[in-house]
Amino acid sequence: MSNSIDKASSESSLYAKSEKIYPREVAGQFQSLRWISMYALLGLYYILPWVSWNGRQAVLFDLPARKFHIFFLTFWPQDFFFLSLLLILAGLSLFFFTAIAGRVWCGFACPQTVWTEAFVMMERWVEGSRAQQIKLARAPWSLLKVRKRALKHTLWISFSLFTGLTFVGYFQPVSELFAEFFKLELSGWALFWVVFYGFATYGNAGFMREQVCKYMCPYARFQSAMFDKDTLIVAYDEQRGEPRGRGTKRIESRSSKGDCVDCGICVQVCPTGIDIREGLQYECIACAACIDGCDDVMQKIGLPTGLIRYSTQSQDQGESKPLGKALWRPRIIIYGLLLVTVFSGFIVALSLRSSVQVDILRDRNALFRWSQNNDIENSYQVRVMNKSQARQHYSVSVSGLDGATARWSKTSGESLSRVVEAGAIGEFNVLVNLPASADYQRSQKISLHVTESVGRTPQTSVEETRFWGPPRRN
Amino acid sequence: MTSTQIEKDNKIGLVNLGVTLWVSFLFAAIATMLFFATFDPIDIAQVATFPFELDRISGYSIGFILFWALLIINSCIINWLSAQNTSSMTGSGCPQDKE
Repeated sequence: MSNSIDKASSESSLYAKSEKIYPREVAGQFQSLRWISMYALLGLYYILPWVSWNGRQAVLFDLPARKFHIFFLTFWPQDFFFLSLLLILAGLSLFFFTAIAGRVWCGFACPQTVWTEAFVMMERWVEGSRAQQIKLARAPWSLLKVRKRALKHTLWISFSLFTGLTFVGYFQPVSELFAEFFKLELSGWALFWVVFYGFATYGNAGFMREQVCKYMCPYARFQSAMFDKDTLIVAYDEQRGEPRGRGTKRIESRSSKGDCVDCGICVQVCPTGIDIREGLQYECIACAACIDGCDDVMQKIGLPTGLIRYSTQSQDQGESKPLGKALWRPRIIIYGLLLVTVFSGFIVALSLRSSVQVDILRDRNALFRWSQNNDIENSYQVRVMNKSQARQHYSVSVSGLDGATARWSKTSGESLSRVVEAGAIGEFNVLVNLPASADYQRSQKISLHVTESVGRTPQTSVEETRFWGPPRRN
Repeated sequence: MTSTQIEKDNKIGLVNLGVTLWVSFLFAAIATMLFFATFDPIDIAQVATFPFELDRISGYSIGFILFWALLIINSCIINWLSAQNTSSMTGSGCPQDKE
């Protein structure tokens, strides 16, 4: 009977309208780590678009020009392969670090956490501590409340717009973008995406917060699959803590009580509003705020810290493994090996990446024609993509047919080479000539070689095409 | 229906809406990347049944929004149908029909 009542009450609490969580401010080693992580990541995000490299924006995903610049690298749509590799690498790293250290990503590096932290910080500037915030929320509307709320939302919205602008700044030149925005000249899609991304930031970090982790994040659901007995988790030492007790009763029966004073700090500091003393829960983002909170209380009442601590399942069961042995387990080794393999593959593929790409289209108007000095002449349209970082002079030659010569067509100038700027595409005509006396067939495979001029080892792109001649009379 | 029941349904409806929007967003982003890494929007506009002028940014943006809309509609219908299948009591169906 009591069981069913328990069930009903837990169910109704499960579906109750989600209350806003006011995380209590906390200080300690993990909170310091989280501040460092927040400032570093936000700093990186907001500053990176302003860094320049070789006279252009260092990181620019130039969608209108269909190329991605990342410092000394330029990626083209043809390089999509590298992007997929990068995504696979990111996924594998996530698995690897989850297996070792649990949800460090969630607690310290996830954008949802980082921006929420920044928004909570602004909320505290304006509305004060947790208690003051709750008081303000319960208070009837007054001039003071309106002023505080207006200030908070102004801060949030400005920060969100700044975030949106920076985001779009990764896709088009950032200084022009900011200039246009502040002159109110921004329009079209750029404005749309600034507002869209700003709104998403405002909603996610200002209002949805922990609910994104609880209801919307796929990683939160499947991360447990990467866990094993030696994965780091935030855990409450139940043996030491229970039975918990507070106040005068505690002092009277000190000997029979556990170390937990039931102060509730661990619940108040939790950004997802859970009670870690109930055991590991999927809502726990392993931010370790409860560790800092509890350690602080333990120090004040003169008990050893670590009632809530980073631990592992096997540690909780009394095993003590040295760190080296705990890391040396199949799951870590397999993820690690995969990570190393894909990463070295990525680096090798990147360094072997050709810096020139050539596409050849045969002239469709005529199979062949006779040139002025009675040679057989074929004409090709050649598209040269300069994927290097320097201006290149390209030369052309032919192989696969004895006696044949290749040159750039005169129509676009007399010189022996063609110039293509770094990152640009040039379209030229190539003529291949063959003396009529040579040995040839009606149609044969030839190869055109396009060679660049600048580079440690100037690269050549070899493309196959066909050479046609007149029918032979035997 | 009791008020907690309505609250519960509203809650599921909102959560469903959030999940639908977000998951569709993720996959629309992936689809957009794959699609436009392969095809240039300018070329597509030119070889369309009714050729039209289109710059790349508009192409990408419209493409993304189309993918997203398609995925949202798709998930909504799946949500709605599977809710209808299981039980009219527990399901809220497509978030939109909760208004």
